[in-house]
Amino acid sequence: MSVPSTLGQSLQGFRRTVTQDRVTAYAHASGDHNPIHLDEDFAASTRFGRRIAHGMLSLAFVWEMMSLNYPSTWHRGGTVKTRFTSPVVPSEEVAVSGTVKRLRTIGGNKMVQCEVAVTRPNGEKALTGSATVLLA
Amino acid sequence: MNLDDLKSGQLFGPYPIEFSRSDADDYISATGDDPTPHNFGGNVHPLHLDAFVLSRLIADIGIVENRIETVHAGQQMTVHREIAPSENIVANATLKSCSNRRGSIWVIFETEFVDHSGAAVAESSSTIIMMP
Repeated sequence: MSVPSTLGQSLQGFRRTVTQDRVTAYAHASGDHNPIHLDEDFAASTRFGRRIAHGMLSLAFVWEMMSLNYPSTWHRGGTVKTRFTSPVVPSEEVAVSGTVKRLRTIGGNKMVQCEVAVTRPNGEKALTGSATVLLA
Repeated sequence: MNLDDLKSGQLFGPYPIEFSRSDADDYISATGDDPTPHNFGGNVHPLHLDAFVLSRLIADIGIVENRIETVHAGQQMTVHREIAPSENIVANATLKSCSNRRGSIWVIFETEFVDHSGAAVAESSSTIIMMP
């Protein structure tokens, strides 16, 4: 199977619905019980006004996309560098996407740098950043 | 811990990590619609390591206990190899930066994950904003 390795090439992305059940399950699985994700009353008092999903959940989607697109190399040397730019609100369906932005050779190893994003239904980016992976 | 006690260079941990098969599956299930296409090959989702450490840091700083509003602003992670369930990993975190910006406290934690032999398996950096 060939992996995305041409400048401008889109990665195979996907859409995922972030339900409150998923957020709660993520809190239990990760151990992150920050009330901003779970407690409606507390969340109402914050700048967001309601519960929001964990940023790490969006990053996990990106991680999954990279492992799907680069199955033989992502788990050995893959690097992500991301910013959480807007909170995902439970019940939203987000789009997880990536594009090959740069190709380079470091120490004889061919690397691909991808621009990655998680986009909310209103078009706002919940996560932006880059992911770098070995080609082979 | 009081937020005023946070100082650059402060060390957190060590945090021993050992995920059972069930723990690893729960994390993958929580993030995915179907665990099978994830290609984790029966291994631990690498972000699970960092999520675990973040939960420990949150506890050590007292974010939940003191109901401090926080925003996870950024995250970096590099993984050197796959991690199997039941493998013993140790995480050591360092508070690399702590600054007050317009009443909010910005902190950057850097974390190293090593296996039983001391070999690095992953590194991460987490940027968190706290609004006391």
